[in-house]
Amino acid sequence: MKKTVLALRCIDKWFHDQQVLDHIDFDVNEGEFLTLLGPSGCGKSTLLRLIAGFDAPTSGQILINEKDVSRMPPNHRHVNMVFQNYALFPHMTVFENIAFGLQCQKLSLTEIQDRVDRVLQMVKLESLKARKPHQLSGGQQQRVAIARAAVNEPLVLLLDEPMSALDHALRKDMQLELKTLQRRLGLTFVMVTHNQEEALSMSDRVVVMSHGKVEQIGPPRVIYEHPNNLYVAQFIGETNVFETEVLAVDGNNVTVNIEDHQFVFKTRVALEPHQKISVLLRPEDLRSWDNSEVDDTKDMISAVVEQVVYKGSIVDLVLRTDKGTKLSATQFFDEDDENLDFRLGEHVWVEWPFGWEIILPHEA
Amino acid sequence: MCGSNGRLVGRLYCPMKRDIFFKQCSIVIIFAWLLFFALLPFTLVLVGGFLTGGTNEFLSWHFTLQSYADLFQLLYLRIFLRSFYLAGITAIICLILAYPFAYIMSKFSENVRLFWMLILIIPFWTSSLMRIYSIIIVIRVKGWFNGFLLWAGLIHQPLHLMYTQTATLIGLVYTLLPFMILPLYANLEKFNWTLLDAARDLGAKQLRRLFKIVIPLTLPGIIAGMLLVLLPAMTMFYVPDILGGAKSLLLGNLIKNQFIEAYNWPLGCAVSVMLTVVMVVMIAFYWKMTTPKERRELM
Repeated sequence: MKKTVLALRCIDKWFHDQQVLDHIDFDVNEGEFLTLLGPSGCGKSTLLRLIAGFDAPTSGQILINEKDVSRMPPNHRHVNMVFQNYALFPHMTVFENIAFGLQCQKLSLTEIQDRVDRVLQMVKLESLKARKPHQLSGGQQQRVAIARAAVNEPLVLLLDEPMSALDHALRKDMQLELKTLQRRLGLTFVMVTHNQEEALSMSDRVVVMSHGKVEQIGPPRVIYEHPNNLYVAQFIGETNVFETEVLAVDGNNVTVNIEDHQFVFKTRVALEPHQKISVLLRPEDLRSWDNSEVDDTKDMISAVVEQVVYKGSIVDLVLRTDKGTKLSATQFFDEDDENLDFRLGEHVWVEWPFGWEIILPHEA
Repeated sequence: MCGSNGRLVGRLYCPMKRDIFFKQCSIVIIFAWLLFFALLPFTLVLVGGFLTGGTNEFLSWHFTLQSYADLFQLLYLRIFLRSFYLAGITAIICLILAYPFAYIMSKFSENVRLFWMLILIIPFWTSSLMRIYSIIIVIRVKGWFNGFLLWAGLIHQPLHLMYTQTATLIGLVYTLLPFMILPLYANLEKFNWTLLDAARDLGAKQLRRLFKIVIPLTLPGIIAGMLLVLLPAMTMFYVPDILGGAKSLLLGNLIKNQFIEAYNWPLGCAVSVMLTVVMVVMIAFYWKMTTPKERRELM
């Protein structure tokens, strides 16, 4: 059993008469990389500020190592933050920036020197320690900001949109680097982002939030492949949604009508006949064949190609079914199917491996 | 281009030509202005300091270093020191008053800031001489200030503030306070307040945040404000004249007296040059302490 380092217990937060956080309740394990993911205004940044101690929850508790810190000032929590634009002190050198927290703890000069040097080595910035922040690149500034927080050996390191100040090309590199750095430092990271790609690629677990509520918590793969609800499915990655209803239920098997075809799916969700449901399919799960490539079209949906976007290793198709539903389908080049030459207006047959569909009760 | 060969050409090109003409004109005017009203007078003062005073004319063409030698007389040195002292105290009082004011103002919303800015600037629309005279009404023996203190029971005898060094200080601080507030405000307005969150996050208490983050980062504003107060404070001769009863002489009074009362123009010139040298030294100090970017931000 992993050790819980940070526990949020029934946290509510109100600003005047507006509720920004609604019953937030989850644990963060030691050494974990946890990401709070959601659109702007979903309360993720507020939650981070509550954990950091810049604000107090209206009700509920924040426990760090089983100690209630909800109303403690930031410096008594053993939590440190990496700010959105890093908030490095512009008048101090890299070394002084990193040493600042240790000086506040009134440590001896030699200890400060030792610890700063050690962390500088870990973020590979030894050679730049005499520079001022404005003499550094965006990526280097980010590392200084992380080092400045990490040198205090916090129980939890909080990161507020750490990639947003970087340009696009750099972000991918820094995603990998941040993950590596987290492992090397051996610290618990709680990161806030609105970028789902960042969340999926770096985190051990993702907390998907909307309107102040937690929609789903889980490893990236679970979040992507088994979303709890339509919101999560649509927020993370692209999704095709068929709105339909259950025709018949037989044990775990349900009969469903999609685009005038009857399909029988296995499901773990308890469903009743005539219940409205959504059937979700990821674009990369859909396969499109042209007329000459198929014999049996019983379990296939007929559609017309509306748009072809060539992306090198993949081709993105926008399809329109006979009933008018718009679908997006991603086709991969592989040895089995070298013919990815789709023309606009061409008729295709669409299928997917059974079992890859996601069935959710319909949401109003 | 603007000739008779077509109206269209004329309309297309003439405005540009006029623009260049306007640009050149304004540059010429500015240079001429600086030449006649700054450089020329200053050269006269510089030369005047090395000449001898005459009985019939104010200056006569005999080179001498006498005026500069005279500057080192104890009497003048004392005035120099007193002047520095008064200007320094003024600048420090201004800084102490202005810093919280600018700090609070920078935290207000746009509209509230504008209001306070107006409150600060409106008095400038009246003559400073008038404003200095009006201080008399406040601080004289039967003035409002004494009236208030007596009414509040804080004192039993009215304070004799008029014609003291304190009165001069009050006048100087009152007149020069905005010159301290404005650069500080310009600096604090651009201050990145998340830095304070960051410092708090790293465990810095209030005083450390103030002395390690806020003050170092507003140092350009502090130095600029100090200069803008120190330099005029040494020359505002009418403030000690009116409020101080000419008891606390400033460099400005010394210069004025040499020119208007003692008719010792060479000495007046020498004192002026000394004052200029002091100013140049201070501005050089400011230049050395700040980066071009910081100076631009204060503009």
